[in-house]
Amino acid sequence: MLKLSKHWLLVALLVLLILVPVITQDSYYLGVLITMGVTIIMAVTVRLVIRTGQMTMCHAAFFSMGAYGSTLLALKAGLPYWLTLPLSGLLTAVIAMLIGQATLKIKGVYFAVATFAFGELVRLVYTKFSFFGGTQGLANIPRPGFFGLEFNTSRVHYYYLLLFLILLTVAVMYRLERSRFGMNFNAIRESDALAESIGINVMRHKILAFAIACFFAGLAGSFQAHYMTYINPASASFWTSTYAILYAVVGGLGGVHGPIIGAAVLTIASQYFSSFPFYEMILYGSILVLTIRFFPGGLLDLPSQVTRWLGYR
Amino acid sequence: MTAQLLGQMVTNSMSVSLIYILIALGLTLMFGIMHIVNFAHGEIYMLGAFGIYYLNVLAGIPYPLALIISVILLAGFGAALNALFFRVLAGQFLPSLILSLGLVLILQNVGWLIFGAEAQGVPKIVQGVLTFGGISLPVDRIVVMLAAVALMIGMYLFVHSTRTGRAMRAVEEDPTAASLHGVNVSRIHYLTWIIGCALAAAAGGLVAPLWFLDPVMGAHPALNAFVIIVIGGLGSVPGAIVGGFLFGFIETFGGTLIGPEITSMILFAILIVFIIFRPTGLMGVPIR
Repeated sequence: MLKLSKHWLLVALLVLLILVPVITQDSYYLGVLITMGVTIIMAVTVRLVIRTGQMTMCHAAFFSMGAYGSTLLALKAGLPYWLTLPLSGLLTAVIAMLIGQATLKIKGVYFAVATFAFGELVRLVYTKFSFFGGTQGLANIPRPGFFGLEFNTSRVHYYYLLLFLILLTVAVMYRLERSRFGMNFNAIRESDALAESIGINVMRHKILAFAIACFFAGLAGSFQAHYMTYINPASASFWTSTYAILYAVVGGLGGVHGPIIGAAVLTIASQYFSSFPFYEMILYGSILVLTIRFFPGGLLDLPSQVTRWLGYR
Repeated sequence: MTAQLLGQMVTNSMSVSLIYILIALGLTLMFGIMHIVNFAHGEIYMLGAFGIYYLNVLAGIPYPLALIISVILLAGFGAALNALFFRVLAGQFLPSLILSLGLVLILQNVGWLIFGAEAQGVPKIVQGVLTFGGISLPVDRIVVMLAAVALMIGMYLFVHSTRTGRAMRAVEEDPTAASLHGVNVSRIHYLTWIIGCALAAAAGGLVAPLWFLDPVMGAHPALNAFVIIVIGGLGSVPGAIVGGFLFGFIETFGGTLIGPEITSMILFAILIVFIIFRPTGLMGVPIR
């Protein structure tokens, strides 16, 4: 009975999300939800990579590959959005597979530092070469158009597109989590060598997780590019990657819904601080420090941590 | 390429390398002994520099005393960070990495709030320019370099020749065996934080009269220090020194000859290649 009511809850949530633009056309609220949506995809996908035991510090680099890829395909090759979106995702996934092939055999802190360097390298490439627009980036990115439906400055169309992308991403993540792949990822995270010894092809699994995560990150980047209609190298910045990890960790890495909760809560919190940018960062930093130190399981784990804490009293 | 330009580049890279090395030494010790990654180390350097600003410029304390006070305060701050946050995370690089990122957010933005968005300056402590062989060197730069070399040598001697230094190396090699031999591992951890932060704060304090101060001045040197310690070998003091000079030379010469962005890209590419093919670096100890 409990499981049935949880499903009804999700259905109700889904209906509510679909009806949001019907309830409010307010561009501010839609804007916040859209920002939240992009961060949700980033947080959920970065969690997938972290769950295989690899601490990636360059997630924003793949986000930006989707953004720049989609933009360049649209601007230079004149392709319509329904092509550039999936193509940019695929491009990002392919690059992720190549990078992963070379780097995923490295573990621990070395992988973190290597991805950190890679992320900076990518950002520098965007900054240096005029093909990517240099420090200014690229502007006048065409708005999406799907078979006659042209997006305009109203955010409603973007909202539905993003909702679709999020549902797709989360559905794939959930299926992976519950599948044999998900169990293998857990095994690999706990111990590479042990997983290998029972016949799991560790590298193939890691590369698969990495490629899938980067595919959706690329889709998010493509969305962002055509939503903002401009992109610049800041989209590949180290801090963007860090925020993705922040949302995922604060929400809790234990389940796919953890990063969703983390991203949602922190995005809403940041709205209250929008006029105090420094305080916002200090808040984020403090939340991160306190979470790691006292609540490593994140918000997901909070109820059980509290009951445990009360149980000791 | 005149001898003048060459000489200038050599001395520039020397002084830049020495500052990076001071920061890198603390980082590599922290990783070697406690297996933690501290992204906030650059902020200690920044606070060291601002400490000089407040003590020397605003409070009028003479520079050498201000430097010592700043170093002591930040060493204490490091010990506090260890006590509050990192002590329980010793041995786990992942949580410590994420936590230190949180600290960076806090410290940098507190810096913006307190120190303001305008770059601050600290007046030169020594005036004058030394000229030899056609190369002109400001005296204050020479003083900074000498001080940095002194700290570096002192650090190396401490780690290699004193009893406590040997205790540190023992903990680095095997904490359990070290504690069986009577080493107080927890105290060594505190000492590592104190020494690391003292060196970073000293670097910041030495640099304060040379360059401009701003709350994010620590990001670039810390990033470079990370590259240095990986190339030199995580946990290795001589590695940090060799890697530091190598890095400083490449950065200075590359920056002048082929441009800073391309040089950075090359340095990052070298780092990635090192990690893939020789993760222990030039002189590092094998990963346990």
